[in-house]
Amino acid sequence: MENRFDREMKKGVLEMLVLHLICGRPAYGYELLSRLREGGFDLKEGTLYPILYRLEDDGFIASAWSSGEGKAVPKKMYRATEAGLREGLRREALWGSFTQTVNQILSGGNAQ
Amino acid sequence: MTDAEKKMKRYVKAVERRLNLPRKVRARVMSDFLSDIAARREGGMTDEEILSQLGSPKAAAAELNEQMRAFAYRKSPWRFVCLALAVIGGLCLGAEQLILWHFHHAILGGDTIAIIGGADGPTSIFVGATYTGIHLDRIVLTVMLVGGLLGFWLLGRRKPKKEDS
Repeated sequence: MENRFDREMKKGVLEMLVLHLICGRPAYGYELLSRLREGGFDLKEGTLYPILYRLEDDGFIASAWSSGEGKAVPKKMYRATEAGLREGLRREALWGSFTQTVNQILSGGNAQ
Repeated sequence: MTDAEKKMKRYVKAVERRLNLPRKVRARVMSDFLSDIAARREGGMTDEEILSQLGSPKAAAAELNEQMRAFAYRKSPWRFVCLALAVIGGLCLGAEQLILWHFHHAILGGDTIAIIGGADGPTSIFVGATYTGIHLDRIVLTVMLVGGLLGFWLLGRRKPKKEDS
């Protein structure tokens, strides 16, 4: 059983990263998993799906079946909506100011 | 269909069966699950590698159930009241059957139908009255049994509240 704190922290960050990746270019689930894995986040399908469904239910991403070319089986592809692109940028900005503040406190320097 | 395809199909079915999720959510999960298997195949993985990466159906389903908990059924504690009703109904029905059976065999000597058919006045009235008397509470007990079981099942699978995340 994973530590509660680790889990909660990861949940928010992963949702931001998944949205970021999808904003970059449309992707299907396994592609997102492999790209996150390359980046150092080893997660399973089970962890990714609830993130995708929350983003989809909030209207930030939309799914469609990609028509398989040739013999390829159709796959569920996720792409960002207009609202999703805006939200992605907003979250990245928030992350920037957030980490700055957190790092400042962690490194011992009290507020300037 | 090749043997490998059959094996993968069986695996996917086995995972799906173990998902304790509302029907729509389960369909959603399975559509992604199938997509991801297809993507792995296109990426050059063999079915064997895919299966070992996904784990046993039990493990894969447990992982999905655990992670999808926010989308899962909520179980109401009231379902145990329904279960208790069903058990009481079932036990009473069973007891009644047992008593009836003994009654027929001990008192009427087992050959019930022939005896009822040929029963003279008092006996036929006695048998008939007992039968209609029992009939009513048998209906009540059956309703308890069936209704209780149904309630137990339904209260164990209420749709999740829309959580604000």
